[in-house]
Amino acid sequence: MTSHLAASRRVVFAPVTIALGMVLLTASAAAAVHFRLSGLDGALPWCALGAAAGFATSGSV
Amino acid sequence: MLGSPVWRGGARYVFCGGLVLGALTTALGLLIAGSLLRLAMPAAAWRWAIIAATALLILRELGVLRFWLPQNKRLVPEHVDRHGRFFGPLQFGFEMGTSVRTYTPSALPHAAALTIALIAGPWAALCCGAGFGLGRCAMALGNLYYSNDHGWDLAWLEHERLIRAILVIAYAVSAALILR
Repeated sequence: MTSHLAASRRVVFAPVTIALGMVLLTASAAAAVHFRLSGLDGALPWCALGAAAGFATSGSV
Repeated sequence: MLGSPVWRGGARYVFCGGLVLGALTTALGLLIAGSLLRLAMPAAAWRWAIIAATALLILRELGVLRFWLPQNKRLVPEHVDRHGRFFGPLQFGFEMGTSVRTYTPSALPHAAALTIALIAGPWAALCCGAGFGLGRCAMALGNLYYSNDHGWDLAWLEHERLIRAILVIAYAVSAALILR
């Protein structure tokens, strides 16, 4: 059970998974822009831009 | 760095709060400095300048081009816990979040900084700063929850090219949505 939990954590928190989460955030931003969701269409692309840039600096740790 | 005492208990979340605060501070600073710079050219010209600069920085990120970028190659001292269980991690996170006192191995923060300085409004700058801080939090918390043996860093190094390509795609699409 413990090893199963550890394996799950290694998938969920893997760097590649987190990077794919950034893509998901970007896709949400694209959807917000496409459907002209008031407020979100202006904010989400900026959040996605910042998140991708922030996570890309991970090598600095 | 992750062996530092500031990572134990709730200090990790205070550290993440510091990351976000630091990123917001830098974003607002860029916005103020950029608002003076914007007077030099019309908005349309700045838009094309950002597109050109972003293209160059993305090529650098992908390893196609190599050129120098400004960065302050100094690490925040690990033992900032002398400032206490709250203010130590907060200061540590804040200084890293500002990105003015850390190594910056990626070109994407420079592209984001230019974009904020040259075309963002106050709300957009805050959103970008919050996103940047949360992106750095994802690194810190992912590292902690992945394993206790620094395996996250090894996984990052093992898949670095793939991760950078994914992040470049996410960044480029976000930039296209903003500059459309």
